[in-house]
Amino acid sequence: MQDLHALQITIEKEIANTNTLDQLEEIRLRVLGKKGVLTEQLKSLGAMPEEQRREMGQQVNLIKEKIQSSLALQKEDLQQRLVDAALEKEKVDITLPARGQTQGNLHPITQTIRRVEQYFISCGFSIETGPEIETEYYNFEALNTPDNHPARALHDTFYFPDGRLLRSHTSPVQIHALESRGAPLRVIAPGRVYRCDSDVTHTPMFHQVEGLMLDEGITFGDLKGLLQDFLAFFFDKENLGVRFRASYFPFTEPSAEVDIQCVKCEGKGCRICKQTGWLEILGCGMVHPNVLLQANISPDKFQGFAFGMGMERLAMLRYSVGDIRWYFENDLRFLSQF
Amino acid sequence: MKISEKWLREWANPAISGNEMIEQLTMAGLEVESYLPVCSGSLEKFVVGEITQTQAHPNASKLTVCQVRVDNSNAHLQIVCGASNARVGIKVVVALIDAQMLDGLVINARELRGVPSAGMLCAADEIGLAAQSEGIIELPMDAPVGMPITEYLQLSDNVIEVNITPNRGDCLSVRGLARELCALNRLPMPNPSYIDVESTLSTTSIKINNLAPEGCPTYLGRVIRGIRKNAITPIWIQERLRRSGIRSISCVVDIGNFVMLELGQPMHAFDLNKLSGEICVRWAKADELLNTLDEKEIKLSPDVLTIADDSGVIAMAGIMGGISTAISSETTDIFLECAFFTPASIMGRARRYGFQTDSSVRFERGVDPALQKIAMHRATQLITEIAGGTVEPIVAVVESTDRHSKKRTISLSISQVNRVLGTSLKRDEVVDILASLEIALKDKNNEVAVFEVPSFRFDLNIPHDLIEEVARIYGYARIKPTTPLARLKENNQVLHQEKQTQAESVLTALGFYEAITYSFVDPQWHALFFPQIQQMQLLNPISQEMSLMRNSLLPGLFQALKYNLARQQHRVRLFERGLSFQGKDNALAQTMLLSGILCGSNFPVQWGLKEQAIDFFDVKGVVEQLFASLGFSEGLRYEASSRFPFMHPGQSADIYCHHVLVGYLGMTHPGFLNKADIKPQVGFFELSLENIPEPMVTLCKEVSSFPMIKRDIAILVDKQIPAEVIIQQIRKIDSSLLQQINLFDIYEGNGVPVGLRSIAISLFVQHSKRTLTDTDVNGYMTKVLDLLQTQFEAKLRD
Repeated sequence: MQDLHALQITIEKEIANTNTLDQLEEIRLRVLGKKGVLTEQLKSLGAMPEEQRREMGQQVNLIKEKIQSSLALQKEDLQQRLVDAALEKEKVDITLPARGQTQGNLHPITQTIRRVEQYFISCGFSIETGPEIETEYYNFEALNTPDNHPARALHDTFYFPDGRLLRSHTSPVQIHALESRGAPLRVIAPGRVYRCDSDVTHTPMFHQVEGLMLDEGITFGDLKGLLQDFLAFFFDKENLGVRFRASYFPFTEPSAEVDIQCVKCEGKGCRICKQTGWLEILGCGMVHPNVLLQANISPDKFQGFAFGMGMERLAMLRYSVGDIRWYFENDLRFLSQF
Repeated sequence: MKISEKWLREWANPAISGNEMIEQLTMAGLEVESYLPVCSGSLEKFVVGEITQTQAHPNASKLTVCQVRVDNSNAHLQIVCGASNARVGIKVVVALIDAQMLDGLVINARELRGVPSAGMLCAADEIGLAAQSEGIIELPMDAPVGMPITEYLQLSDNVIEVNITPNRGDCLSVRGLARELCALNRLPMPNPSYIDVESTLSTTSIKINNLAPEGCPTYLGRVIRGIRKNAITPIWIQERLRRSGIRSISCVVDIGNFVMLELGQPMHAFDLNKLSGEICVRWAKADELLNTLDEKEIKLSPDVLTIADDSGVIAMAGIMGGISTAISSETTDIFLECAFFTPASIMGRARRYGFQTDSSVRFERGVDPALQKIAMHRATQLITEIAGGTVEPIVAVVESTDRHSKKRTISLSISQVNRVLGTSLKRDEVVDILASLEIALKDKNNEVAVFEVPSFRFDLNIPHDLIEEVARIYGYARIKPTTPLARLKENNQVLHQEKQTQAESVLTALGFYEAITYSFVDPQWHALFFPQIQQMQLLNPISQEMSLMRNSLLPGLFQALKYNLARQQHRVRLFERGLSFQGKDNALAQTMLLSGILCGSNFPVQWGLKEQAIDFFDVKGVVEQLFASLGFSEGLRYEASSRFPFMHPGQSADIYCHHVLVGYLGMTHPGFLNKADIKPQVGFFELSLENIPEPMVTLCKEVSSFPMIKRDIAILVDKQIPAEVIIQQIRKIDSSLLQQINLFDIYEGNGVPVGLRSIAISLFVQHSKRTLTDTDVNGYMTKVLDLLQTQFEAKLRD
């Protein structure tokens, strides 16, 4: 009996002194394993007289349970110590730079076009494209601008030896869409256009978005309503000042230029708006009956409006781009800003 | 067009400020581009003076000591002047003591080389009347001494610069703008009555023969004899011309320009004594020559209308006169032309020869066909008043059947006005607005009103034109914005666009920036990429470097790459989407391409990762990720190809997607890099977006719940055999078992015989209905190895 008690004390001390799970396991095997001390004790009970065996059995089992519980406690403790050590070791400087691929982006002009598209797609307009090498017919004649018309002088057009040209506006897409899809129609046409002009404020290639809405009973008031709403969306300003003033395009009648209140000075007058408080932003008008007739659409049944706007200018105002030529230099230090 | 505000207000003077006036014009479609004071300074203390006495300066040979009278008293100011034209009797502009010059200088009493001077005599440029000038201004003799110069020259005036759109030729005059102002302010229309100048001679000495009445329905000519050679254009005419940006040339020419600005009628004066025979209006003969006033020789074509005499063509009608019959300082007798040339006969002709004139601009937009007689009388009146002379009767050749001389009518229903504008205007309002523009209601009784268009409005032809006039005068601002109503329809074009949006978002996620390069490229640069390929070339490029239409986006992207490399950007990844122009003339095809280039390290330089320059397989990785995003993680095939000289022959390939050629990719040829002067290796890809097939809808397969078994093998095989061929063959064996195949190592060198390479592959096998046994898997592996042995003589590596 004394022996057993002493044994228990010794073993518990050993358990408390272990530092590793291996040491603990070694103790467990030595005490409780197949040939362990306590296992042997239990085996030796068989040779004892019944009464002594029962008493002795109880004693041994009690000690066994105590040791098992000590082993379990110590194991938990040792495991916790291991985790703590690992955590300490695995700590990193979370301010070090991230790894992996960088994120590129879309050109500011494309992002501007996307923003315009976003508005008109949500209004049920579809997106139409057309060729950039065009015929005189689509670029001018079908748009009520016959040969020698003075309005042609407003477009410095690039020509090819075979008489074709680089489209000087996106308006020809109107004609393609009218021919292929007829009325009613709601389309916008973003794309590159070209004019033979190159200086501080002009590049020989730039981008426009053309729009056309044709249905029964579409009015000039509708044109004002939709474009005003679009401009407020684009410039993120609900009460954006917008004015429509009379103008001239051969393919619309009545025609209008649309100005917005200067986004820099809010109409007070500054360098950007040349002290006028207004910025010219797009041209528009009611589709000229001759354009509809050219495309075999009855102007008595259908009427509507068309508009066109320059993306370089919209992007300049939105992103404060200082020089139109930056768009086409493709300098990464410029591109990566957007 | 630039015009003096004072002049305009003589014709139409609404009770509004100048700023309100320009706002009104701008909103009505006559956009005011600038509104600037005539004189940038105040010019106080500048008066009209008269030199009464001069004396040579005792100490300076170039200076004159002048006695100048500046008021009605007998007092004189002594002013020292350096101008050579300072002389007794002339009227001059005197800057008095304390006067401030335009450059800020203040005039003080001081001594000039020992002689006191109490002011300054001014040159034209010193008071802002000319950009530069010689000598002091000589004012007309009737200029009142002592009158402040701002009053005498009416300098408290502004110049209004109006951008006249091509449809509004009628507004290219003071009278035209005044009409608009009157309509906008509901003032009565100014209709000046010009006196008919009676001829002082009874016969006419010139004959006019009109051979082109279709181009020139009205031709008036008049001879004026004996005008004074030294007649000077009055200062008030000079000033008005100057404010319109027109230089004073000679009295007769100035008066012609003045009448043009005032009424909108261009005129031309010939030197009568340089004409030979009768005047003829006719179309040019092919290749006929004309030396123009600005001394250029022009070769005419038969659709150019001309004025000719017996010597040949003497003017391009309505565009420019010839030098041979031009007025000179010796001219005393003139033949004055005042005609109506139809827009169709003038349009585009001047532009074809690369110029335009004040006259051509007006005639091609339309000059009032009812104006010629009035203008002729106005010009005659001014010439005889200013330069004297005796006047022959007007010779008029008029084609009365011309359509321009008939009044046009347009029928307009009031409901159509409201239907287009979205307004609810009453009939009376519409009629009233149009009446203010001299568009008269002709037929009062019908629902559809008939309006008569005034002769000067060439832009009014159909009801819509009148609707625009109503809207303009009513005011665009007063038309209420509304929300358009439309029918719902599925927007299939948006879906169509998804492919490119998807591809672009993959590329940006892989570190690419979108570039936009010009669609025209330098032919020499282009030839480095695509020698001997026929392309569309511009007839009138900005420069030779921007003359050839691109058939690929790569030349532009490589140019952008060079631009960035030269600016210390060593890691460049750019892509572009845009049209390319393949082939020429009838074979032209405009196709949408998506292309990219990459160079420098594959990942941005970062800690914990070895920097590695991109190679072919990085390019391939980009392309495969792009295709996976479009729904093609399978179905791509590559064929070694170096179709163009910039492609590395051993590191370039064509890309097929489900057997359709969709583009190519690769690394650049070192020889090309030398020629292009690019140092680092560059990877590229170019894809035809239109050729990429529409992805098929995925058909879902059941996922097996039984364990998947992985076996790795390494084989030694001839290195000429493409890995893809080996993998394709393996895929054919028990394809239902093989779930995945992964090539994870390639090795050549130590331990591998020359000419062979080691390829390590993982095979993942799985059965859909049961757990595979070792026997199953071993059987499968044996089949694989047997096949590799028989097909490729591949051996298992130990």
